[in-house]
Amino acid sequence: MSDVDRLLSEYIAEHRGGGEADPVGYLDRVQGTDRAELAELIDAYLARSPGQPWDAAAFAGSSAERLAEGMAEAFGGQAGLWPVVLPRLRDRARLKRDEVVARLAEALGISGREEKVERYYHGMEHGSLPSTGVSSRVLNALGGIVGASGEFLRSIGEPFAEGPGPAEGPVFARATTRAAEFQVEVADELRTAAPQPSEEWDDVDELFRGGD
Amino acid sequence: MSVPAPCARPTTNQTTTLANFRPLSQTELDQLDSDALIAYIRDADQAGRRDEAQRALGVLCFRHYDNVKRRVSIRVPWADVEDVAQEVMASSIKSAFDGTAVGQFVNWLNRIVDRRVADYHRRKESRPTEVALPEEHEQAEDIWGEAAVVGPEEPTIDVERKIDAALPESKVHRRVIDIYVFDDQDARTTADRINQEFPDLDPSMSVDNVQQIASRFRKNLRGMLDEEG
Repeated sequence: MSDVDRLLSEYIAEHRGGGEADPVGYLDRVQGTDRAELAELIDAYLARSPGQPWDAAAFAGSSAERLAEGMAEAFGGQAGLWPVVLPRLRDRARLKRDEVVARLAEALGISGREEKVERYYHGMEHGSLPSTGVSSRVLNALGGIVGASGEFLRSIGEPFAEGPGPAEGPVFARATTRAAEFQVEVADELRTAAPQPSEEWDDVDELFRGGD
Repeated sequence: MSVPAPCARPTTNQTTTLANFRPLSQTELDQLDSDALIAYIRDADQAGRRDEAQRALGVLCFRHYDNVKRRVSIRVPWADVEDVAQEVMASSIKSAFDGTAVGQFVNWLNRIVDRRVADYHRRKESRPTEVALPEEHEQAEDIWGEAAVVGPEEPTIDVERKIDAALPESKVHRRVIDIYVFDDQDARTTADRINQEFPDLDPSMSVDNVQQIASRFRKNLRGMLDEEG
């Protein structure tokens, strides 16, 4: 049995036994064409794997849980993939949310209004703030803080296209198509997630809701 | 650890409302195949049951995410694995919901892994003067850029994997590879299973045959890799 055969068998056994099954650990044990061959075989094995059965304990606190939460907010929201991408960009930049908010307020020349900026930024990360209303000034400033361009943030925040779905309506129900009791629940969510325009529309509202 | 045999949930053309939506238990959800899970998430959302949609989304993400990360880690530096894997999952699920995914979800997911890894390296090659330190991340656009495309994935741009090129043409022989190589069964067990699945096979599959088919496959694969250098 060649090294590649042996390592592939060991990898499959570890993967099926619920182990970490890190491919790189196995690949590092061979070199050259052996390594390339083992990489192809492990990759093909994983592509055929049915995936793992549900485990509530393993799910709690996992990257999969954070991803699922982000995706749920993205689908139910009005800001494309911001709920998935913005928290991740913030993590990569090693910044807490209040640090992003403080820097954003400063970059926009609205220091001292952090509380309102924080509510709007919260709405961006949770998909409840319509992305189409957020100005390029905000996106450029935010991009500079988290390491992305404003154009990129704009494109990633494009609301989802409505797919084929059932004939009666869009794939993802918006608040207006839900049962009355849920409309109330959703409306409350939107109110707490992002500031509603106050009676006097101010410059912060203009930046986050006024569009370009 | 094996996943219980999946079963598809019957789908109907009926609009799902709060009245006719039946929440499934966690065990029932885990037994749905991934396409049925996506249909369930859609039904739950239509019925206004966002809690149920999120629960099922959790099952879907948990089922596939670690394997996606493992596949990505084979070819992408560790610093960027998590981001690339998240982008793969996000764009695959998004495509499944907006109707632009092609074929079964699992096959679609695998194709997106291949494409994103290829895209990642293509972008790196286009910037040869920039050499990131191991702990530095690729630019956000390089990883998430494809997810910004709201339009459908282009079905014609597919990465041909060497494994696929090395596989035999015969359906029976491919099945031998599935069982002997990727299911890691011995040659006797493989031959028996093949003969059960293909009872009309004449001559029937033998241990020697299994080993020859596997050997040819591995030789093909190795030959391609040697050519590549």
